[in-house]
Amino acid sequence: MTCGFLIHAYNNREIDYGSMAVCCALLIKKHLTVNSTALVTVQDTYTHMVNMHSEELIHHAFDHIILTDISRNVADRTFFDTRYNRKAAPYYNTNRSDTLALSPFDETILIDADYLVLDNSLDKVWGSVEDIMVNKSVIDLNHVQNLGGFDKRISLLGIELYWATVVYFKKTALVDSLFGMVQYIKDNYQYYSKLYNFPSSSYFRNDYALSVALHMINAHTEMKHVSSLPIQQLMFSTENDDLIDFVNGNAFFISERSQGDFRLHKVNTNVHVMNKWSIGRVASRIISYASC
Amino acid sequence: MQAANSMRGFFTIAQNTKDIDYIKLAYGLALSLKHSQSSISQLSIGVTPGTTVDRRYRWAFDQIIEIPWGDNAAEKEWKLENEWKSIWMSPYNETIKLDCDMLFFSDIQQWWQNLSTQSRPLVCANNVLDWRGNVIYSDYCRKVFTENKLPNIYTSFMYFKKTQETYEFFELAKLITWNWQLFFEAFLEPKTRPEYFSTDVAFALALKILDLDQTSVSTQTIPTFTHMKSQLQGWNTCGISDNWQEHIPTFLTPTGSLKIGNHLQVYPLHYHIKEFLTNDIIQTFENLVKK
Repeated sequence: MTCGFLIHAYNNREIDYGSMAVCCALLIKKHLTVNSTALVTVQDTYTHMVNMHSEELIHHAFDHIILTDISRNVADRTFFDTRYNRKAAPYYNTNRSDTLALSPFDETILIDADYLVLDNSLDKVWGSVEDIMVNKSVIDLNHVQNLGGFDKRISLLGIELYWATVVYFKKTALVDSLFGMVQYIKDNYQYYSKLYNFPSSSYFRNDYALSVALHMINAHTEMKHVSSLPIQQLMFSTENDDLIDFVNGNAFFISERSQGDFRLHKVNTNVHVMNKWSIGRVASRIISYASC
Repeated sequence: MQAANSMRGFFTIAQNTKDIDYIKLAYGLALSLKHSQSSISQLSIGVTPGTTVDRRYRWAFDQIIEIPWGDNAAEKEWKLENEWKSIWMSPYNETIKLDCDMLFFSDIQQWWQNLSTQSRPLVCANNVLDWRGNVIYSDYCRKVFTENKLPNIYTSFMYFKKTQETYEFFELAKLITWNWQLFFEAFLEPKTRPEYFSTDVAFALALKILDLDQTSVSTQTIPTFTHMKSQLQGWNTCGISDNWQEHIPTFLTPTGSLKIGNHLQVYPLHYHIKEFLTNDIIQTFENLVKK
């Protein structure tokens, strides 16, 4: 059985997802025993990655490089860089449903490029009896749950919200159906946004599509819960938070939820960093730490 | 009329009021039982003395039984005062007593086996579910149970065998029903004491007085049902109306599967809002049962 991580990375005019993917992959190699990685990207992003980091580093970070095509016909999404800056850019995230077919592994962890693997908890997933594992509970740096937009449900009266940030799966018939459903939901996104009453923003959101697909797989009930990854609560830093430094495997964040209310956080467990620019600002320090 | 399983059956009291056709609700219940149950589907109903049940409904009921010893709820719009007679009215040795405003979507044959083999002759549901199938922990409508340490029973789903013990229970339930103000004043804290008669409270009190409160509530996940009272759904009750249908859509498939807000209903559904049972729903079940 082959096991490994798969990361999608598609740069847009503002955000360097390629560099984030390099950070993510190198941290996997640094902290995990099972650490094969696969990158799914497009040619222009790959070229940019090589130019930025060297071909040697890219091949050190990734065991498999899978070049694909993506639809460029996507709407802009607003990305925040702390409370004070925002920029709109295309959000090329619409081919997650191809992951099952693209993955070179028998068991895969699909992981967002902006997820920093800082502990070894993901070593515990391999060989699981579960076909799929995914978190439905998140917690922010202040250990607060149920922030606006990060609730446990996709709407007040809606279904449970699962987070597509980190998804473990095997290549089974069930998972094949699941990804097929995600694709179908993506193709009929406006319809499902009405049916399941989730915010229909201009861009496709994987979390919603996955949540609806899991609900359908569970026969439209909540009786059989999908197992979570080894740590039940997915920690995340919001787009308002700023990753200000990275030292010896410790990520340092400043969170400022209301103006002037600064909190400093030292994080050495896995964390989803939603402020993409802040990863870029410390990427060289992450790469330096993780590649040695 | 009675088949091989006549030792077991469902029973409900269906007394029409000037506003609500409870016999029609019981008809909907009977249809859903006929559609969903593999073995035991017969439903008998207790009706107000002198009631003539419409022919279009009559065929669906196993037995139609006039409430004995007069109608204790004659003057009441919410007719609960005859519930204590259930054990004498039910034609079955083992009965699941239900409320009229319920529907079934899954076969509960295994529940009968489970309930029948327990040493307890009387079991009430005490864990009920919200529309998503999650256990309701809120005591928003049940402070009297919490405050007085009453067994948290829901008599909308109640299993009993005809034993001496259960007859004694229903005898006491009669006494409490007839003298409910006296009993409530004697046994319940004033802060949460109901100012109206409640079958759940009266029956819970009877269980407690007879020291059956530990044995007659289910310690298992069954029996249970989905209770659609808005206040029990875990919603922020501020601004939520009593009518849950104003907040979540429903969809009944031609094959008799019900989704409430995208959630498939698999447990008995206590829909509570009587207008939920439309003629379309009845027609759907008639199509399934009569085909």
